[in-house]
Parts: sequence; C-alpha cells; structure tokens
Amino acid sequence: MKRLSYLVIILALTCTGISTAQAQKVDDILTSYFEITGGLSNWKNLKSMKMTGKMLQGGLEFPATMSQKYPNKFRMDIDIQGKKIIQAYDGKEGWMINPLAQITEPKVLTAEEVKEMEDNQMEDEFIDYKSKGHAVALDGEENIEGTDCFKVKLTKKSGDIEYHFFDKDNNVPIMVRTFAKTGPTEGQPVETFMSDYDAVGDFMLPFSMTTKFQGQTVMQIVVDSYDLNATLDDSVFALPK
Amino acid sequence: MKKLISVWLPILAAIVISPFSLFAQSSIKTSDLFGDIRARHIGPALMSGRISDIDVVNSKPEVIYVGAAGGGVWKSQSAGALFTPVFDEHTQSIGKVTIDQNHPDTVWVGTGETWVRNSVSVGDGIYKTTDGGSSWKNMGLKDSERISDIIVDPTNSNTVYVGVLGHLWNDHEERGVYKTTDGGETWEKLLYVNPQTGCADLTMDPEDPNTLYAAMWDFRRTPYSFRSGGSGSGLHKTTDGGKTWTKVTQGLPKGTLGRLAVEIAPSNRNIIYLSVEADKEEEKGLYRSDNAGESFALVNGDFNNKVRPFYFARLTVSPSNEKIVYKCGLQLIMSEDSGATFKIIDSGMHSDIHAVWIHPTDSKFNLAGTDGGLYRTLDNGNTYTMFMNLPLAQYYHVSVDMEEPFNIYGGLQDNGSWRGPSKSQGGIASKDWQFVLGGDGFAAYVDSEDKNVVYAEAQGGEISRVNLLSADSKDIKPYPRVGEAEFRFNWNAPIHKSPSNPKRLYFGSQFLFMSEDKGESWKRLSPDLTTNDPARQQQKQSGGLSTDNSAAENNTTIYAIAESPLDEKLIWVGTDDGNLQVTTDGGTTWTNVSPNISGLPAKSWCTSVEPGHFDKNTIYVTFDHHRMSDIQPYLFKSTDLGKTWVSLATPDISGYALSVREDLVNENLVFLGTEFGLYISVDGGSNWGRFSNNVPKVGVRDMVIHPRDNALVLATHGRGVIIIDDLPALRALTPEVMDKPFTFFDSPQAYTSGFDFGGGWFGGAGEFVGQNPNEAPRIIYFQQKRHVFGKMFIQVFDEAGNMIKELPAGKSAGVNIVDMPTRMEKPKAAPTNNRMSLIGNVFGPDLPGGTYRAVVTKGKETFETTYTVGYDPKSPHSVEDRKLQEQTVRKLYDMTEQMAWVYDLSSKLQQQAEDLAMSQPKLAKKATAYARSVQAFKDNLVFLGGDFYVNEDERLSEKISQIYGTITRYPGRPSQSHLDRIATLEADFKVEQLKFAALTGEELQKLNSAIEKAGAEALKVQSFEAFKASE
Repeated sequence: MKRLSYLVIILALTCTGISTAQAQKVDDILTSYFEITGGLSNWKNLKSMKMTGKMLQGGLEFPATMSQKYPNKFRMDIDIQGKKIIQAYDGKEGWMINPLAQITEPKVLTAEEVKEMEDNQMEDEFIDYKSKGHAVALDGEENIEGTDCFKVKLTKKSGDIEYHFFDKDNNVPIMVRTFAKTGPTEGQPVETFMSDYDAVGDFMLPFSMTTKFQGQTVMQIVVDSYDLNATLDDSVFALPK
Repeated sequence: MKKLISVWLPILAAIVISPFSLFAQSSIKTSDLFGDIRARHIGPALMSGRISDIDVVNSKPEVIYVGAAGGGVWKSQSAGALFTPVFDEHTQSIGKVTIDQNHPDTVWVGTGETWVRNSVSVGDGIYKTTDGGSSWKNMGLKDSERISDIIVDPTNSNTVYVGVLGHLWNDHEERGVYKTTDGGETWEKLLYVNPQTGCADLTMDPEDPNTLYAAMWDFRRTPYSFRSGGSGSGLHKTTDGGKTWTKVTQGLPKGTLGRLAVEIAPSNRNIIYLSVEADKEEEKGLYRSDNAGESFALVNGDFNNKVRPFYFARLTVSPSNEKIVYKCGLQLIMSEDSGATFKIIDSGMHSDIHAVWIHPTDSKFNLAGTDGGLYRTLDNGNTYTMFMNLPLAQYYHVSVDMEEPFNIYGGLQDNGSWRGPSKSQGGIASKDWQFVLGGDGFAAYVDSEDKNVVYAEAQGGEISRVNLLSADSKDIKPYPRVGEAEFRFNWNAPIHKSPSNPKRLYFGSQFLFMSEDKGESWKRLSPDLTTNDPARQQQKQSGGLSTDNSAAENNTTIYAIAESPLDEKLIWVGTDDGNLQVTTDGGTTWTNVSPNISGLPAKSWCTSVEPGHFDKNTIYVTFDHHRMSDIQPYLFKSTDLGKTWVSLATPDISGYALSVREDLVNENLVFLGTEFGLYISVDGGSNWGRFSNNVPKVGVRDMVIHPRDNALVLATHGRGVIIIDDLPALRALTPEVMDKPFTFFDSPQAYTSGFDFGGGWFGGAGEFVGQNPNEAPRIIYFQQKRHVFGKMFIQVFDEAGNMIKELPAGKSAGVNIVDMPTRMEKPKAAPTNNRMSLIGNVFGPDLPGGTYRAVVTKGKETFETTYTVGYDPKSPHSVEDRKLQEQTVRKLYDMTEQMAWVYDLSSKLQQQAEDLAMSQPKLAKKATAYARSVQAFKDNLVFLGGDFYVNEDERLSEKISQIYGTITRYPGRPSQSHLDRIATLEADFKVEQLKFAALTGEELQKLNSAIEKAGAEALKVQSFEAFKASE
C-alpha cells in the first residue's frame, strides 16, 4: 500500500479548510473525513483489523490487543502480570476470561453485559449510513477542549445516539460522545478523544485514544501498530470449546 | 510559468517548513485557553440545599429527577442511592420537572424557581430531553424567567400545558398558561391576566385532559419590598383545553387573593384542594371542592395551611387515596381525612418544604424536598431518611484559613455556617464538616490568633463569635447608642477581615463598624453611607397579604466592604442602593464615587468591591441591577480611586455580576462570578471566557484566592464550594505564551506520594464525597492548537538519564496538565496464583525524590522541561530512612526480576528439552531426564495451584513478592524483622540460584554435548538482559 506523504496530507487539509468556509452539510463533512483518512473505497474494503498497543488505567499499564472482524466480531486481550484477560464477541455470544475475578474458564456474558459489544460494528457507521438505517445530522457546533468542532449526531437504527465531533480545521473526528448503556451511570456521557492520527498504508488512523468520564481520564489506549485486513480466523472470536 | 512558481513557492515553503503555523490563530478565544484546568467540587452535601421540585417515573420508581433551587437537575436510577447532575450546561435555577409518564425518557424542565424568596435566581425557558437527560434542548418561553408547572397530556405527549409565573421584579407579558400541541415547537398563550400576574399552579382533570385549573398570582418584588396578592390573583378553570376559561369564585373569599395552590385528587376528579392566601386572616387556609370546582369551602386554617404562601403554596394528593393530602409549609403537614385535620410530620426533616412526591401505589412512601435537601419516608412520615448525596449548598460567602490543608468557611441559605477542609483522607466527606452557627449563614471568618474561634452571622446582621471547642457562641452585634438611629443590616450583612491587621474586623449596617477586640466593641467609622431613602425602608410592611418581615427586604444598607491590601486607611464600601463610597483616611471623610460610573443604572446594588493588589488606586466593582429587571452584568474598573471608570463587561459574559477578584500574582488575571457561572480574563478584563471545566452555570456569589496554596475557592449558590487548584497555570497565560505554539509552564511543587489505597471505608453509595486536590507531580504546557496529526508523547528520564516511562501527552488546545509517574515500572515477575504476591508485583516502587526531565515529542519537534519531586518536609520519615527503604525495595525488585528470569528460562529449557525428546528419540531419555529435573526445580519456586483466593500457597517467589509489596507500600524505614526476613530469603534464593547455575551450566552442557553429537540443535539459553528487554 502506498504511503501518504506528510505534504499530501497537509495539502489535503488545506483544501478541506477552504471547503469549511462554505456552508457545511453533514455529508460534506463525512465525505471529506473519508477522503482524508484513506478514501471511501479503502474504508469499504477494510474487513478486519488488529490493533496492538497498551492500555493505561489508574496509573497502571498493560499490553493489549484488540481484534475486529466484519461485521461485528470483536476480541480484546489484556495481559496483567501474566494473567490473560479476554473479552470477546463472535457476533452471537460474548464471553470472557478474567483470572483476577476468579473467572479462569471462558464465561458466557449475559445479555446485559453483551449490550455494548453487539453494537460495536467493525465498519465505520458513517459508511452507507442510510442503508444501515442510521440517521446523521449536523447538530451545530461545539467547542471541544478549546477546539471548534462540527457536532455530528448519529442516531443508530437501534435508537442509540452518538455525537461525533469533527475538528473544523480538518474534518477529522477528535472526540466521540456515547452514553453508558448499563449500570449506575446509564445515560451518562462517555467521551473518547482521538489523536495522533498517522499514516497506516493508505489510511490515517488515530494512535492515541483517551476515554473520559465526567471530565476525568478513565482509560487511555496507545496503539503501537495496526494490522489492517489481518488474517483473523472466526475461531479467534468464538467461545473456546 | 516562472511567475506561477514564484507565487506558489512561498506558500508551499510555509506549509512544509512550519506545518503548525498553518493552523496558528492570531487571537485565541479566552474560553479556549483553559484546557485541562478543571475545577473540583467538595460539597458539602450533609446539609444539601433547597429542592424546588421532584418527579419520579411511575412505572420505574427508582428513576428520580430532582430540581434544585440553584443546583440544576439531578437524576437517580437507583432510588436515590446515586444522583448525578444532568443539567450543568444550563441555568441551575429550576422551577418544575415533569416526566412524560408515557415516554419516561422524555422529561420537561421549566427553569426559574418559583419559590420567590429574595435570593431567588432566574430561568431562561423550558427544556426537553428525549433521552433521559443525556441531552437537553431549549424549547422556548425564553423570557419567562420562572416556570411553575408543566403537565403533559396523558393521551397525547405532544400536548403540554405550562404554567409560567414569569418575571418577579417587573411587569412582563410572557406569563400565564401556555400550551403546545407539537411537542414544544410552538406555543400558544391560553390564559393571561395582566403584566403582574403569572400562573403559580396548574392541575389537570385525571379523566379529562381538556379540563384544567390554573391558580393565577399577582405578585411583585422590589429590592426593598415584596407583595403577594392583588386583583389579578384567582382560580380559573377550562373544560376545552384552554380555549376558554372561567373564573371560579363560589365559596372563595370575596376580597383580594394572593398565592393559591390547586390540586385535583388523582383518584377522584370531583375533589379539588385549594390553598388560599386571602386578605382576611380567617379566610386563609385550605379549601376543598367536592363538585369539580363548582364551589369551594374552607376546611382548615392551621398555621401551616396559611404560612408564607409565596414560599410554600403547594399541595400533593395521594394518587391512590383522595383523602390523603400533603401541604408544604414551615413543616410538612398531612391529612388523612380530606383536610379536616392535619398532623405535623416532625421527623427530623429540615424545615421549609417545597415539594412532595407520593408513590402511586404505596401512599406510605413519599419523597419530600426541603430547604435542606431531599428526604424519603417508607412509613407514612414517621421517619425520614435524608439523601446525603445532593451537594446543593447555596453559599453566600467563603473564606479560607492558613491551616494545612486549608479550611473553608462560609454560610448557606437556611443551612447555617460551616467549616470544612480542602482535603481529607479518601475525599472530603460529611464527617469532615464542622457546624459553626445556625440560621441562614453568610460570611464567616476564622480568628487570626485562635483557629477555634470563628466569626459568623445569621440573617439581618446577627453576628456572633463562635468557639468551636466549647461550642458556644457570643452575640457581638453592635447596638445603637443614645441618639443613634436604628441600625439597618442587610439580609446578607457584610463582614470583612482586614488584610493588613489580623485583629481588625469590619461590619456594615448603614454605617461601617470596625472592631479590633474580637467584636467585644465596635467603632463607627462612617456616617450613613447609603441613600437613607425612607421609601426603600419598608421591611416591616413587606409581604402583601401575608406580612413577611424576615429582614429579607432590608434595604439602604451596606452590602460590600473591602480594605485595600496596600493601604489600611483606604476602605471601599458598596451599598444595596447604588452608592460606592471610599475613604482614604480610615473613615474620617467619605466620597460617593458611583455617580462617576458612566453606564451604571442609578440605585444599582453593589455586589462586590475588589481593591487592587498591585496599585492602590485600582478598584474593581460589580453591580447587580436584576432586582430592577435588568440582568446585564455590570463590572467596572477604576485606576484613579474611582474618579473615572471603564466598563469591563463584554457580550461574552452572561448573567448579572455577583463577585469580582483580581489575582494576587498576575494583575491581568481577573475572575468574575455571575449568576450563570465563572468568567475569567487573562488580559485585565478586555476579554472574558466562561470557565466551564466542571463549573456549572451556577451563581458564583463570592470567591477567595488562597495566598499560599494558589487555589481559587468559589462560593456557589447551589453547588456548594468549588475549587480550582491550578491558578499558577492561569497566571502563566501571558500574551507572550499565547503567541507561541507550545510553551512549558513551571511545574507545581510535588512530593513523593507514598502508597495511598484511599481512606474511604465501605460506606456503599449514598454519601457525596468531595474531590481532593491533585497532588501528583505534573508537567503543564500550553499549546495554541489541538494536536491531531502525528505522534505526541512524553518520555520521562531520571537524573542518571534512564528513561522511566513513556506516556501519552495531553493533546488539547490551551493548557495541558499531565500527571507524571510516581512509580517505576513494575518488576518483571514470575507468574503466581497467590493474590498478595500478584498485588505486590503489580506496582513498581515509588520513584525517589529528585529532578526529572520530561521530553514531549510532538510530530517532528521535541520540547523539554524538568520538574522536581521532593520529600514532604512534614513527613515523619527522614531522608536516611527513605534511602534505606529505597535500597531495600531496589534489592527486592532485582530479586523479583531475577526470580522471573530463573523461572522463565527454566520453563523455556523444559519446553525445549521436551520438544527435543519428541523429535529426537535417541536423545529422548537424556532430554526427558533433564526436563524433569528442570521442572522439579521450577515448580518448587512458584505456586500456581489453588483458587486465587483462600486456597492458595506460597513458594520462594511469592515470599519475595510479598515482602517486596510490604516494603514498597511504606515510605519509611523497614523494620529489623523486615531486614532479617529479606536476608533469609536472599540466602534461600542463593541456594536456588546455585541449583539453577548447575542446571543451566554443567548439566545443560552435558545434554548439549550429546545433542551436538547427534547433530541436533542445542538448547538455547536467554540471558537475563535479553529476558528483561523482551516484551
């Protein structure tokens, strides 16, 4: 895959900057976003992804890998001092292993626990959002940590609402606001900030993600590498027999 | 062609050479500067604050919404175990909360409290959420200021009736009964009486949504009076969805009416209760109609059925029993016989009840909202439990002391005066707050010589000196001497502590007083500094139909006092009737300089005076004219002792101005508190930005800057005390800094932290715990633009140049604050199934004190700074003890890693030998024998069985990890027992290492020779260094 040069990115952004001066429609923002981050056709051809990096939480740091496969298969592995914590969803059922919680054999997650995972689509929700039954609207602008952003409201087919904030200067998303679906904080906003976009093949992807709740950082992910269209067998995601 | 190139080259060059300047803004909005600087809330919540309304999802009674007088909307999904604020970005004054019971995620909030006491705030319309409070949209009625009621048509959720009480301080036409039939997109005014009369209450027929009753109220406040009642008051009924209304008069008093409350029994449409304020005492009380409003009759005239209608006119009828009715009052009263008799519910609940919700099927279960928070009974009011998780304290003033950690003093609306710490183990909890004085509380100051003596006051100038040890308080109010006029004290009379003389206190009526003997005597320093306008001295007549002489309308009084920190003879006094007086000779002569302020409306209420800390001729002053219906902010500055003034108010400021503070270090840093939050200027007041990082749009009545700890402490009127700890970062926001893309700020003083597992115990949910300050070592930098493209991270190095950690950088525009590591990386450790060993290994040892270097890599650029971590001088641990601890930890750290390597290499050798045995049958015997002896050795080192809980064991590896954890957690000298234990483990480990040396030396060599002879690949040995470097 060819690598985008820095100059090309800068030029792309400059051009985007010109279009932002005009009245922005939400589809323009999304089109520009896909252009800058790799091109829509590349995005559509992305069917699996493995992300390797580390997770930082409460002053501690753990190696982590996250694997995703079209349409909504998901698996996360964290290693805490040799204890392997796994959470996975194979499109039908979710399961976990967590020796720290005395769960040493794969345990099937309850419907309640799996709620967040089953909705986690591999493909960017904005791709062909209409045919997916989602609605997208420009809900004005909002200043996010000192950066003026377009506030794009995504109402999913399921009725769930997310707000994606696109930096007005360059149309890449710098934050996604979702809402906790379960537990005592149900309905409370959870904000994930993306940054350190860098070239991965044809794509521009964020290498740093910070999740905040009520303004406090609760988790950070630093990506070391992305393996795009990685070969991931379905068995990776399935409940081990 | 050449020309084209010459045009393009500079552009391309600019892009390539300086990519960041491409996005640099020449001017940055002030509100974009604050970045990571975040306020913390410390409550308190043990006395909570005024609740104005409650609603609950009938089908899911664990879902509760609470509307606060000044603290926004809070939601619980756990029957009150946990409440979260869901309305912080909007005005915090709430009139009404109504859930659409057919679609419980749709909730309507009418802003603007309708319990219109002197200190009441204003709203800005009606809001709606359709996602359970996650997001809100203003649906109009923006100039209504106060919304008393919202009723959703149970047969059609798009039809909503709204009672608009409207403006309190002036005539206005946006009031009456409104209706929408399109979910709030458009509104129709259905019932309007006159510009003084609003709708105080609405009720809908449970069987016919077109039949409603509206209680209309004619009322008015001025800065010096209150009137409840007038020709506009009355009860109106519609049976056609509001198209036509009939005034209901049958059985009601013929004279002037005041505030009414009306409620239909949900279980019987014919029964209507009506609370009536009338001009005749004997006609006041509770009325009832048994014929759907055809006629009413007085059924009860008990005290609580008549008391203070403007504050308590609310009725709640049991959804399941028409005979059970609650009336809010000074106390909550309840009747079980249709109002004939009432009992006072006296169960330790705070007085002044404003809202009651009754469970739809269990009338013994109700919630009550009071001046002091939310309560719940499950036994019909015999006992009430308070929810101590709603930090809604309405502070009027705040002050601090110089204790470590510093304490905060202040008084609250109807909740006394309190002292509490800025920091406490596990967070600032209810147990940390100490009661000082009762009544409504206002200013409170600690004595400069005795930390157990506090000056505090109750409403109307009732100042006391309180000894917190003996718990007695002495009245120290000045009294008029022979020939002196009666003293007029404001509801919120100012106390001021001299910045120059620790013994000196000031206190104001219409005169300024000074005491230098702890309030035993007062010297009058001034003549009457107010307008002394008799027309504004009507307190005793205040109230309208119900006299309300509470000191709340005392006027022509002094409201703000400040002695210049640069000149003790220079004193400023602001009054509630428009005067701003200054003396430069300690009170001998006074000049009223407010006429010099161009643009200031006459008779504006002076809310705060802030003499300059850098130039004694400088003064900042705020005025509040909202009591004359003008909600503009008035903020002025003079640099010539008040002769000439400039207005510092800009369109970026919202809400009337309540308090102003100039920073103690950077004279361009100015703080402004308005009714709608905190505003900050970094350029001396030319530009302002709202500080929204955890400061809601709440009234900021007072502020104080802690001179030692560099914290800004806010007295909010609805969300308790809020603190911003990172003032140095705000101080560093100079024009030079903002002109550059990236700048480091000085790091705050930090100490090694030791281990903190938190100090809280297992209290479960239910109590608010305030946040402690962040005391981690941290680096602070400013960047003009958010970092989006390319890697940005921080590497931290110790004095020897070793990299300790790489961590994500802060990316936001403005100020970034990044906590630096306090611990080394955890040791590489052998696996274990022993919990304490695992916990021991999860944490790296504390980093020692010293100077560290942080390198921020931002794309292709790097920026470098240093910061120092010291040893807390207050700590009981000597540096020598700490060094011994550090050495001991280091030794155990190395042992842990050596053990990890020994185990890992043994495992690898065992595996290789087993693989060899399979692949090389000729070598199988030798290889298997070797594998078995390595396995036996290795299995003796670690414990991997058990249940990771109570069925667990320990081997040498676990013993090392456990003592490592023990020593790591205590920052002082290890005990002799510890040192002896370590010596024992070292000796044991030596024995194992010798065995290991044999296994990996002589024995392995023997095997490898045999392997080589057989032409196979020898077993590989990974060095300790290679093991450490591996992932």
